[in-house]
Amino acid sequence: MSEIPLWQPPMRRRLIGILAGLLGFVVISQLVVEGLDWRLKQPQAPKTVRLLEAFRESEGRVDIALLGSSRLHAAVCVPQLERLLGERLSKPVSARSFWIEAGSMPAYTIIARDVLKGAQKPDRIALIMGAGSFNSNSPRYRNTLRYLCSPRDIVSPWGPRRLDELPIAADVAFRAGGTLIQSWRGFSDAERQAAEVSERLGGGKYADLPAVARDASRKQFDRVKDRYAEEVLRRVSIRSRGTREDVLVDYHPAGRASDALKELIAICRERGIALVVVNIPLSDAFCEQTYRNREDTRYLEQVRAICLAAEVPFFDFNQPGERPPLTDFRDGDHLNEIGADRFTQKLAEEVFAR
Amino acid sequence: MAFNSIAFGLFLTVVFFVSWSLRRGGRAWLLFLLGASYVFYGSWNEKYLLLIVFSTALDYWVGRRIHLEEREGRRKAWLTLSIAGNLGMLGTFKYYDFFASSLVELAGGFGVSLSLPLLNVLLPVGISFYTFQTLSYTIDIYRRKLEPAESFLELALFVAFFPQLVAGPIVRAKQFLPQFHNPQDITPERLGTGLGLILKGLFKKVVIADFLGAMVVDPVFAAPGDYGAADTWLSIYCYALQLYGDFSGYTDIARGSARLLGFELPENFVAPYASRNLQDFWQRWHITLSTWLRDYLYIPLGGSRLGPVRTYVNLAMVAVVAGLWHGARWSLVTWGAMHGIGLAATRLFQRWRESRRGELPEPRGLQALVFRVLTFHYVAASMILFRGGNWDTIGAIFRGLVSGGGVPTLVTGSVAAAVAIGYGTHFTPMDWKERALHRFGDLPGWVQGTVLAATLSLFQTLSLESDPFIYFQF
Repeated sequence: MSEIPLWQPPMRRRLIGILAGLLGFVVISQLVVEGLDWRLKQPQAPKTVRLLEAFRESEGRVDIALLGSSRLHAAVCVPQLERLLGERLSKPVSARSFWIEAGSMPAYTIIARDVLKGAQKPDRIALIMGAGSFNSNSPRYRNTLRYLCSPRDIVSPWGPRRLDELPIAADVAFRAGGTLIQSWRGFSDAERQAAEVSERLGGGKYADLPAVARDASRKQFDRVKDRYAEEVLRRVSIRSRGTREDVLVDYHPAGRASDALKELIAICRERGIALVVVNIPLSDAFCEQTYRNREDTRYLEQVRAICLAAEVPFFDFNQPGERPPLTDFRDGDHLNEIGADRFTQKLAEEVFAR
Repeated sequence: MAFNSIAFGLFLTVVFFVSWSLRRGGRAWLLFLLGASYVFYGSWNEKYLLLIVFSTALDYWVGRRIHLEEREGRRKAWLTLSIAGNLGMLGTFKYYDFFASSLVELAGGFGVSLSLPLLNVLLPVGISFYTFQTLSYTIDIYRRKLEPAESFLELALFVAFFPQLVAGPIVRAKQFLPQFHNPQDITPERLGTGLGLILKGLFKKVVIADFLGAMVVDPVFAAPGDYGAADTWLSIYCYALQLYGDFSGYTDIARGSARLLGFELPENFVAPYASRNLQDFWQRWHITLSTWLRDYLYIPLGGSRLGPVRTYVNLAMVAVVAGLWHGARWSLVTWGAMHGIGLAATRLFQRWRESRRGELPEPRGLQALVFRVLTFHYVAASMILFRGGNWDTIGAIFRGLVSGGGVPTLVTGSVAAAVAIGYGTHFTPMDWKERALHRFGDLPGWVQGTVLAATLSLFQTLSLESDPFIYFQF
């Protein structure tokens, strides 16, 4: 061993010194950032992550928090949900969609754990997702690791398990230092307001609709329905291929995804939050073309079993025969304004008004 | 696996520890470094590894044949085979589609309908760099300036050594092969300066090049008509800095990584924007390419030995080849021609001055400053051709330089700071920079570790998604 040049005393001392300096900086910056609760203060992160921090900074609170991915953002019109529930319950109800781009089950749990806490704790959480969010091996999980996981998550069972996730985890080690360096940066009021508006609307708005419907009013829509459906169908094949290649790779609903759901249930129980889990509606065409290895069935079995064991209500709005028509979607898995209108109503009546 | 990614940091760390744990100069050591280099290259596109292996095998075999062969004709034939093999590969993958589509277009201009099949293949990363390295190997053996590599393994590692594989510097076999037999030992000082070079390169790449590219250059070149003269001028100053920061940053990281593994790679940039004339510029910019072109193209063409006119022609030809080497685009050929004309004009001007006043002293003071400013602006203007992509954009940028709009809209505090730091460090004397590097190398380990971590954190905030290096496309 002593013949190896690296282990000669001067080199050994130097290497130990470099390692100590490196680790010292990483550990101290992590402690400071975690201690000050600044982990989500990352102006370079994607918008949906920054909005979480904007919500925390605003010290706002909502009665109902919706957790999910971009499909949730497209599917629920928050102001409409608030209005419907307000009318039914005869009291004002506030709701907000805490959707995250390329969402994964662990991401939703982390949001509940680290954002919806203390004075910002909601009365209810609705987890609205599909099979894509519930793949423990999804390449999308890298985003969760990079932007949301805390250092203790990295060394937990939620941590990196695939080779391609290792560099991301190393990146996280230096994130705290980066957060400290840019801690002077924040959000302007204009940014916050713009974020607030886009966050609350959702519900198929701002979505890129197939060309045929872009200029059509609701009344005119009936006349172009068939052509619209044809265009959506074309989009389905692209979306479906993308989902198979990017989201459902090596599908594994047990492991990290299941652990995260169990953790979310435990958090809600501990904090006295009522949790409901909702299977988001998709189109028949998308389901047929996408879930070729029974991913949707395996996901449902897993989620149902966990919810049943924990006595958490589970609503399945994606049952064959009850799925919305193609004309309710903009691409087969994201609802358009019309689909969102119907789904929001269903959500208000069948899930929250009970 | 770009140099400015965490993945490369982890990869280099593993290679560093394993390589120093093996016996230096031994077969296992060479094999490990070659394996690591192939893994590195395979991370871009594993299929193109075959091209490197083919090129290496061809030149290993041909190199030995040339060395053993006494008859001049046969030696020349073997050399021709090597040149044809290497340039054939380069021509197929890099230039075929360009020339084929240009020919079809030209024929169309004369009303002739021509149809040629296009390959539409992805350009193999670093092909221009390693092809030039392998070519110099066989040519040097032919010229009896080099003994062939002792083993296939040595030559393969010379060609594929990962720090310089994809974007240079273009290393000569006679500089590199001896390092296998006299490997440098690792010392705290070499470790420190190696790390310092890597940090310096990352700083140039992330803080200067990527930042100015995203904030100033990309917006202006994407929509030149939307910006006035002040912004257009700013964008070409920033692009000059971006290109220098990107490429010299890469070279610094390559040299630092090689030094950590016990190898020395040549310097590739010496404050090029401080050049007094274009000749001086090419002695400071991409030095390993310009010396390669000098030794293997300019001098064989006759250099300056065949009279003034032939010298100007040779200079222009070499510069056009340099342009074409950078990419299969007419704008790059024009960039090369612009440099060729500039080089010829410089030579003509020097001859004229010498004929009037005899041997001239080096320009000093204000005169030197004027020469430097003129040279820099000529180079920066030529870079519009380098960056522009299509002729519409290039034309719009040149028009933008003389349009209205005297108030820059893209200058923010951060942009001004990046420009000031970029040009400030560029014009800092080389020996100061060298001294600073050695001072960093002498710092205690824990300070180096802290600086390393702080710098990596800074980069993490500036570039979460790493931009590829510009020179990878060549």
